Amino acid sequence: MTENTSCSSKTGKDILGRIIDLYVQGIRSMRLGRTLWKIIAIKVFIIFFIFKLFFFPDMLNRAFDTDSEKAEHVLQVLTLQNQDEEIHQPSGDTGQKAGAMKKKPGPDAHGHPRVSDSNILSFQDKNHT
Amino acid sequence: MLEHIDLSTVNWARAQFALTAMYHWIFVPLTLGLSFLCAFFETIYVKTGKEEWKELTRFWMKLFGINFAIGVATGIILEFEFGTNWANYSWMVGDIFGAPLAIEGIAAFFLEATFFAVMFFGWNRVSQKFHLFSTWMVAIGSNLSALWILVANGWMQFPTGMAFNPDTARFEMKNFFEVVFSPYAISKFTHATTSGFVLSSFFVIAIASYYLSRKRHVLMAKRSIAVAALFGLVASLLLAFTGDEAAFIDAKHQPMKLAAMEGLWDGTTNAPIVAFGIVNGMKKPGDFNDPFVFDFKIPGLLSLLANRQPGSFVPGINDLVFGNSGQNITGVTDMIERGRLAVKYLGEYKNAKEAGDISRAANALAEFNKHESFLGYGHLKSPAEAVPPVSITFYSFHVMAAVGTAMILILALFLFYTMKGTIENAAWLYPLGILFFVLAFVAGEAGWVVAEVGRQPWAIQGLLPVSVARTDIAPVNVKLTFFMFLATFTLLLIAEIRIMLSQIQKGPKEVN
Repeated sequence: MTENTSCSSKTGKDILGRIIDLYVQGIRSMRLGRTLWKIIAIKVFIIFFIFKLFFFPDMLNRAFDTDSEKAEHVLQVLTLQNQDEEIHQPSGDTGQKAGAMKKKPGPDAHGHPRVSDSNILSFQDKNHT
Repeated sequence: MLEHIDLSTVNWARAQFALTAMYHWIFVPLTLGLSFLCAFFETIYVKTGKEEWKELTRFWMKLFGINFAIGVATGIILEFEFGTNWANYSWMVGDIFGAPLAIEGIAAFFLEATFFAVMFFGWNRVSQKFHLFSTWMVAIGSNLSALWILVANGWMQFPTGMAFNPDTARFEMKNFFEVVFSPYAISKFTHATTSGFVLSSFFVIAIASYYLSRKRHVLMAKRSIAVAALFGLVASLLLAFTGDEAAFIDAKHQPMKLAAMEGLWDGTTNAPIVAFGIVNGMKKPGDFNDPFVFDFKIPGLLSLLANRQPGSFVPGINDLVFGNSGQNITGVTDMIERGRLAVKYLGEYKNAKEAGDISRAANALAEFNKHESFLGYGHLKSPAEAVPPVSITFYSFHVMAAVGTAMILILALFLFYTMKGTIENAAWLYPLGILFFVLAFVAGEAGWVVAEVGRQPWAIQGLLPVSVARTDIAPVNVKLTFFMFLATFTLLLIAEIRIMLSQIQKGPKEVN
């Protein structure tokens, strides 16, 4: 039993030694690899120690301490928009847009409703350009 | 024209994400395909025992290593951007993306990192068979890594296997397998990986063509072309098949994207495919302008491809915006109304819960659940916001499809002349091999533009528009990092190209 344990531990050490040797010899014999590792090191430094540290904070973690505060904030954003607009009877400066939505001229030859030329403006989407 | 471009924070954040993702996608497809090509080359070496195949494998493996080294960690930047520019989105999807991305990390670490060392350091140090096994493991591991990020992307296109928790404002995973095996996850994975296989085949063909044109490493070049052309041709046919599948599921779940891809404004039976055309960029939903300045259409083909039924109805952008009762299509106009109800009742639920009014909270929640699937529409200010940029989607799709079709022909020609044994005489084909390597990159990037721009305004289809997903930060922050990335990425790309070119110039070791 003891013999077996010592034998298997010896084999284990052999395997570990061979793996370490593979890496050591491999790294020693690298030529192009050294240049590539330098590029990787510089890149990883820039990504993690410059970009991440100084330019890419986790905004929710920075602003809030607990998960419930973060949830509260996101729920706030999710429920804030359009709160001042009536769903069926829009008013204020958004009225034209919402009104245009509700105003559906008769269907065209393809079976879907048309909007008049004056209402087309309200459908313009800034993102489209 | 420039004055019409909306340079708000959300668009800068989108531009930054697009820049990072497109840059990342320069390296990823080469890794996906070249790893398999190396495995094929090495398998032939082990089977034949010929040293020429070993040197050939080592040469392509070296180029694979350069690409891998320069590309490594470029994807991590996307995760930084989530936390900074897309904080609301990041919070909401954390539960869904956690599992796939964790699996990706583990798979990448154990499969790639472990066997990668054996693949590069193990020549003559481990047995031939174990080395071959390691090469295959790197190929499988790389592609499996891609699976998980594409599952996450597929979920954004078609959110499934989850439920929205109104208390935590998070989408929570309910069925892992529904997420992993969703039609979009499968489609994204198969289409993206096959595109990588084709691109990598052209990478090998382009370099081999260069050698043939210079009468250098002729035997190695011919052998490389034989394997790459066969692999590329099979992959390009699969690419066409998976692309067709992707359009088919778009017709079911993202009909607006499909309509934009084809510039189809008014739905019709026997819908045509536009073989080529010039889009009228001034066209808006509901107007009477012609959709095209010029077009050449193939009648009926879109109906067949979208529904697998000749002559069937394919909805256009106007049908989807305004609805079409004849075809039982609910318009965005109505969805916005339901979305606003979802937003309203979610707010009521939140307020009632805070006030401790359990009964009012329960009622509000019940009402919210009725309209929950339209939540994202409640944040649109007009139905036109649900229409993606048609020109960009149309042209990107057509460039991708045209290049994809031509690639099949070019690969078939390379294979034909290789099989015939006259590839050395087909010098006219070499420039095409090099050109199509560049075009394969263009097609791959265009494909991502179709997939992502074509589903605007959504961060998560139908549930979360980008305008809500974003973080409320000053545009100057995003602009600054955008240009920092641009500079860093350009430098890295120059480094990669220079190192690659110097290794290509050196070429493989000749075996006497």
